[in-house]
Amino acid sequence: MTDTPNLEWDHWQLAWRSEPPAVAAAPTRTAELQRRLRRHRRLAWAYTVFDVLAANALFAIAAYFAYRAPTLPVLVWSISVFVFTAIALGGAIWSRRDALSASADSTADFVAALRLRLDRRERVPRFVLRLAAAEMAFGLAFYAIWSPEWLGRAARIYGAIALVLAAWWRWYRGRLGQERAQLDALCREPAPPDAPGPPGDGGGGSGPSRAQVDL
Amino acid sequence: MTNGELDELLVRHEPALRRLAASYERDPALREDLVQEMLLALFRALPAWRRECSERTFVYRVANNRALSHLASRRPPFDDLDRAAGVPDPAPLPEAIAVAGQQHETLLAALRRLPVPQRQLLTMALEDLTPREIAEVLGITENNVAVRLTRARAALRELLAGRRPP
Repeated sequence: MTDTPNLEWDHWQLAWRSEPPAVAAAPTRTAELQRRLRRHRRLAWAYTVFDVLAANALFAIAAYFAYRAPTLPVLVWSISVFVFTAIALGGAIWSRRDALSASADSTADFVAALRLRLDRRERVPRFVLRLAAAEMAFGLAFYAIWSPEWLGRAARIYGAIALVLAAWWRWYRGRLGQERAQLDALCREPAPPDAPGPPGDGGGGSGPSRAQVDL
Repeated sequence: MTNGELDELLVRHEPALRRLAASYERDPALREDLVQEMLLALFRALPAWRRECSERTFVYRVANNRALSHLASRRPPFDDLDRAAGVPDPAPLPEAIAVAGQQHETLLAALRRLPVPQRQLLTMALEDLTPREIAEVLGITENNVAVRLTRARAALRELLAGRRPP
């Protein structure tokens, strides 16, 4: 190795360390970080409590109907609401479980985990949507057999819900796709200089001269 | 680890984390946010550190991961993806900065124009991490570090010399 690259590197290192950018008025201390962590934890707990309360409300509604009219169809409907809500609650808590953890994995593992998380964020709502579709199919069958006079109205309500869910799913998948594209863009390793570039790119990355910078 | 030891660790690494954050964020307010996010992430991750890697490796893993999350969570519109991929952003032009004689800012501006993987490599190398430590942070082999670092240095050299197109 010649001296030139080392001199250049030394020069860069000197520049790199020459001026710490925007130094804070006071260095961050453990006590301050502990306070912030407690605030984050309180917020996470508040979300979890809200989820549990909402789930309990749904449980109570299902239990009320099951208690009031303990017929087979109502019992089946109540149980389906119980199961659906329990799955949704479990999913909500599970997906928040690592919100407070900080990854100390290598960058490659971390990026792989980010991709996996994106896949899960797609799989979980897809599963919930399938459950909702099953619930609607069950509801329509329920009305067709036991309350045919309500079937038309139920079909319109379910249809409206299905349209809203389909629109949301389309938007949500689009957003996930955007996040995937962004992650790919962030982690894209540039091609070696001698690799052929896209048409019109000129190949090796050398192009028209820009400004000369004297560092 | 006691609070005193944690304080010492934070003091030891905060300047390097600030430099690292500066290579990711141009805006001073966002940069300070990122520094705070990195410190908080480090604080949360430290209890799980079993000393299976060096302290610097651990700190840079947490910090780089936090920075990646930070960039990924900004949700730029599609138009900004090329910028994230490494196509230069409309930062102050290097020549203008050079005229002002701010070598540190010039280097930072050039680093920010590099793709994130090259930026990560160079910032860690500039912080004197060994190839082995860099390999452990990134999850690649030492040979790979050497190859990529050579390319990254060449890219930085071209940027600073103004031979690289925007």
